[in-house]
Amino acid sequence: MRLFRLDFYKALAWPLSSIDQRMVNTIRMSAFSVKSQLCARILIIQAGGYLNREGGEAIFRTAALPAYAAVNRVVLQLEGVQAANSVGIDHLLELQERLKARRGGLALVGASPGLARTFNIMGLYTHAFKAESIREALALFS
Amino acid sequence: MDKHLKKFFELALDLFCIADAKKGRFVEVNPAFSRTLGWSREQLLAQPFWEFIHPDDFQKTVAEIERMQQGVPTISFENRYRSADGAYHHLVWNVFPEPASDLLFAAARDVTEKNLNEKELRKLAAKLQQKILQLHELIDTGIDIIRIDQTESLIQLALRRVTALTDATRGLVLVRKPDGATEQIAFPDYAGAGGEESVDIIQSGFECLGHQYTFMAIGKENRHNSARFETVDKMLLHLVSQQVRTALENRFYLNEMIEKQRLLREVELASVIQKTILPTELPEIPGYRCSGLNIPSREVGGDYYEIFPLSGGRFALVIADVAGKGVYSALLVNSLHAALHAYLESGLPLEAMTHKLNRLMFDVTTAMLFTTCFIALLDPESGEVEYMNAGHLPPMLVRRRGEIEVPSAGGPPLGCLREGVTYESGKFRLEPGDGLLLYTDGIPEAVNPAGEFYSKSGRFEQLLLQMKKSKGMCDPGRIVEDVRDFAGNDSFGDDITLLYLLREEAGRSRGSAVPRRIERRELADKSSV
Repeated sequence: MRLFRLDFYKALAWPLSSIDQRMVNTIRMSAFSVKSQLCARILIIQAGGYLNREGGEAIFRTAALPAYAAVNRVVLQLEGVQAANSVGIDHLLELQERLKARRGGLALVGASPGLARTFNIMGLYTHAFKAESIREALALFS
Repeated sequence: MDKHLKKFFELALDLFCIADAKKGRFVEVNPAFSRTLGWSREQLLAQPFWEFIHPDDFQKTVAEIERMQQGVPTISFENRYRSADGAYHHLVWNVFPEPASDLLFAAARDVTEKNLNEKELRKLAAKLQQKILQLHELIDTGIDIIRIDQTESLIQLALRRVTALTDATRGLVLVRKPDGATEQIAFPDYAGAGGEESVDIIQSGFECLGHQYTFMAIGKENRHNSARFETVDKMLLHLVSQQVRTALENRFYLNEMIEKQRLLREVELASVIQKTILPTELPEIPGYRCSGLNIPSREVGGDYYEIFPLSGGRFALVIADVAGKGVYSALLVNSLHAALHAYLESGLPLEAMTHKLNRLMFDVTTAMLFTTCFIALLDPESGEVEYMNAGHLPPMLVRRRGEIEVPSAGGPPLGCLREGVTYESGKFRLEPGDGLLLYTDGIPEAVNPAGEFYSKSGRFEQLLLQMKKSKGMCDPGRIVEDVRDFAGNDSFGDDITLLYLLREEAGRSRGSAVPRRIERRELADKSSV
């Protein structure tokens, strides 16, 4: 299970004390982990593991949590994702379409070169944003 | 005019209606509504139009109608309407509102079929993208894995790629080692094992360098339920596993080639070092004749021999064997050679000198590496020989009368223990006609096809006596020939080194004996031996 790192918060210039732990949701699965946090009405999801059907569903379910009903912009941090199959990518495509239908969008951050190539071929980058860092993704949305 | 327009209203293929936005009801619908959705005109007018809208489209329809109530017309707004058979139809609307009356004048087109076609096209495009991805990944995996040096990392990368490519839930590689032990590499690495009975599994295996590798893809995934692996998945698994096999074999052969080249370079270097130490010529000793021979084995070893004059008219005869092969042994011989010269020149007694040598060799060698050495100090006038044997094979003292003596004083090899060792020197006299043969273990340890040692065969002593009887002088070349004949092959497992010294009998002609000579023969040059 990957946890939010201290430097992640530092990068966003958020004091640790300002994070409302009640707003942090974690879904733990056997081969995939998802952690989410709301930041200025933008949902940040940090994922790790193998993005297969389970992984895709975990991300999708997180974005659909009642707490995030008003959210239409999602930043997906993929630094911990080792590989993705087509079923997992399909879930991301659907999430991206849903967000787009609500005049929002999906930003993908920290994908490894191999994963980025896979997303590119599968057409995920056609509509989703690609960002180098969470800070850049947040700036893109605001 | 209204009568004419009504005909258009009734004949139109698209859905036309007038609705009351405030009441949320249709005021009038054309027959296309009933033809498309299956509801009668009365049913459509009897209930609020919200009842027909798909729940997921409800919110956005409400928002759109609110905009229209402010007088904003709608172009190409899409939502889904429930038909009488329960299915939903995708309708695209153009609506013109009349805010004063709250009436909406709307025309809609059923795009359900068009959407279905588009969905089908999207599916086909996704499949095509998947195939392109598979090709890309296959090529890239082949390139990426040859860059990885560690076997486990290489397998992990290939397993990760093939698990994702085949849409498997998890991947597994079983590596069965030559000793029967099995290692398991899984992806995802923290997914629990077991429960595989009900899922589809494909596998592909190969054997490489004594290891049996089995690549497995477990549980084919699709969007909603479990599926079965297809032929293309099996092909992908097989191709990736073959890429791993090729990478492993290539790496092994490359390493082997590099190691071979390194060893060759080392042998060359060791050979050069050894050649610089071994004498090219033996000194003249008045009243004596001597000859030496060295045949290095294929791996350059640590044999060493030498005769050199000392102050006071004496001569030192040395033969030594450093354990091990290659550059390291050659360098040790070099150290021994330098130390021997220095200590012998200084006139140290043999016992004290051997202690010093022992400590030196202990300090400069690693554990379990030792040196055997035989040193003889000859006074040519008297024939007196003072000797020290540090763990070396005892020499053969072949008396003129045809007896063989074996001088046995000495101590342990040099470099075994730094302290607590005892060395005892010995003495004998070489009478006219006596010969002294020093040799290394390549001769007695030569083995015949039956597994017998040359030293146990009795041939060595017989040959020495025979040579002594016929010519007086020992011919090292004949000894080598006899060893070769005994062993039944041309290659020696160890270096062979011989050094022979004969005290001439008074009045015997020097020309009739084997001349003072030095021989160093390469194995390749068998004809000259």
